Amino acid sequence: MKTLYRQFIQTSLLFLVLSIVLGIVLTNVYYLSFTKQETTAQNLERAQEVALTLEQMHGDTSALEPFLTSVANLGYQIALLDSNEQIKSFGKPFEDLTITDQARKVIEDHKIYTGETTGLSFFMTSHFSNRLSNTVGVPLEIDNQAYALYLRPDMNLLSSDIHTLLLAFLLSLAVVNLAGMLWMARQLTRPISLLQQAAKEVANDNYSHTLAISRPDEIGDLVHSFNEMIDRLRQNDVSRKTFITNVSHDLQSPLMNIKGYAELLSADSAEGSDQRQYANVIEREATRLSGLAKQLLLLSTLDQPVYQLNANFYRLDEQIKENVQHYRWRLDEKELDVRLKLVKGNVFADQELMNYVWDNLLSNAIKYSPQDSSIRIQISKEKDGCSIMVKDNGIGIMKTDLPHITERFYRADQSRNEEGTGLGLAIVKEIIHLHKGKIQFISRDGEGTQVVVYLPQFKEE
Amino acid sequence: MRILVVDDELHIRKLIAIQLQQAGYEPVLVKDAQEALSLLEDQEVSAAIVDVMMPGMSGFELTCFLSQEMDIPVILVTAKGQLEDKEEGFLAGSEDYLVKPFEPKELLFRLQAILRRYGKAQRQKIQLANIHLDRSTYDVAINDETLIIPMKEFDILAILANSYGQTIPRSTILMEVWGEVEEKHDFSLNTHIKRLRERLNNYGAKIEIQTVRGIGYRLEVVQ
Repeated sequence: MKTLYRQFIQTSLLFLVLSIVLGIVLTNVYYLSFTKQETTAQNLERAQEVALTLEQMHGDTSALEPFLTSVANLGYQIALLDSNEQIKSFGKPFEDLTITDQARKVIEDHKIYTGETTGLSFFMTSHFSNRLSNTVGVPLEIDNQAYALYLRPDMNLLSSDIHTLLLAFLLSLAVVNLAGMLWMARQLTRPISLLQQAAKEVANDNYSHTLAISRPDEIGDLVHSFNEMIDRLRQNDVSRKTFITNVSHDLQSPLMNIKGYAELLSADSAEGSDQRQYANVIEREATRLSGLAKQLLLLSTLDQPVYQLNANFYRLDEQIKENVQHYRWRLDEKELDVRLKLVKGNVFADQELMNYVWDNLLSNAIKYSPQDSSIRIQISKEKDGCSIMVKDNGIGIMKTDLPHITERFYRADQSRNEEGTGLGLAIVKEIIHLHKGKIQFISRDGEGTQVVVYLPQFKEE
Repeated sequence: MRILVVDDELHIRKLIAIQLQQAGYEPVLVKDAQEALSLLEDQEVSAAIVDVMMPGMSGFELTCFLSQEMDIPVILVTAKGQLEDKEEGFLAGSEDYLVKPFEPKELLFRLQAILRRYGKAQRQKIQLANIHLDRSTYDVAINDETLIIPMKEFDILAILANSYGQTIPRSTILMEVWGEVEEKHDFSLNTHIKRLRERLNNYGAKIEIQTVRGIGYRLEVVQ
């Protein structure tokens, strides 16, 4: 795999090289089309001036060499060729003293030489090459002797401190730039590779890995979201595992009871009264299993991310009355009275689901009410909605249990609640939330329980 | 008391029969409406428990015939709890409606309630002071509240209210509510009267049960 970091470095280096090449080519074109002609013309002018001065000296050859030396000292490299192919250099010596045919024409045909026109001369660097051929040449005549004067500016003398400074500036610019880019690339790619490692951990079901990266940018946001996601996944994982453990426990224990008591029954040795007791256990456990299966199904339906409520307006007071009627026999068994104070009106809700809610709250109220006590049910109008209160005088809920009673499979004190599945109130809460309502439990140990459900849409009749 | 059970499922028929037998009724079992009608030609029943979903004539049609032509109270039983079914059932003339699966005790309770009120020449609704009794639903309305009380207590209250201002002998109440005048129910009656008084008092009823020593009870309106 090509790492991002390496890609980044390669790309930046590539661009650096490209920009240099392009820069060279462009300056070269500029040099060839403007600078070279200008400098050649300038140099030619200098050479002709020098030649004119020499010719006007009229045979005083003794002054020739000192003159050329002093001209050279002004920053030029000079070569003087006589008709005997003798070359004399002034100033910084040439590395290559070869005289090309073109250059020779200065002395042979009295023609001006304007430097190299072939091969490497097209390249800008030829401007700096220290060769005799890289000069301008003019013919001159002293004492009827033909000479050729070749001249070029001495680059070493011309390049000044400012050039060195400029070069250093450019170099440090490049170095700092490159270093900065490398640092930046590292900053960008490091959290990404950390994220990638963390994602791998998550894929392996390991949710203990959170990233400690804090940045005020997009990557910081990404890390933040990632950490949130891991947190959520961890919670889901925990609740999923507890759910599975609970379900299997709640399925296993009734099944074990049924199996055990059925074996006892078929063993024939049991007395009549024992047999009845065993059969009762089997019946109770079967009821529990059936209830659990129904509740699990309902819960998994409600858990779907897009559960569609089948809601419409219907008479809430009538629904609650019907639910009470349904439990008349149990009320009678416990000799309970129910006091109903119901505002007549229509609520906007899913009738089937709300039936489940009232059934659950009412059966809880009856279950936990002592013999010969009273249950109160009240509907009251509240702004746009209504609140429904179900109050019993039963054993109440312990303070430590109160925050947990709507959790799945939570059962307050096993001995109090051996029939329940621990899912009822969890489903109730889920249903109320689907209706954008609220549910509240007010209770104290031994002093009864008051459940208040708020539903947001209600029209009084 | 003979009770007709109409259901096409053998096991449910048997289950209901056993529960009825244990409660002291005499169940008569048939599997569809046709059998029910031919059986009724030479037998009398006090009530019928009818399943809605049956091959041939539906439970609704049979209910209609039983309640209107033969004056037999019917409890309809169905597997689905849909409202339309409930409404159709009551339109057909059923006295009550049960949704499967139901507790045997629930069935017995409703059967008992139907048998008690059916065919008795009593007023269905009694209005007294701020109290309103409905015999068809066993509701007591006080002011704007509805009070649901145990059935025996309701029966006692209804008897007293029906002849408000008159003294009702204990024996009459025992006969009407328990079906027999036995000493073992005496204590029960006392307890029920005591509780009834408490409940009426708690809920602000403007009536009072007065004891008429050595005879029975009398209901009076409190000013």
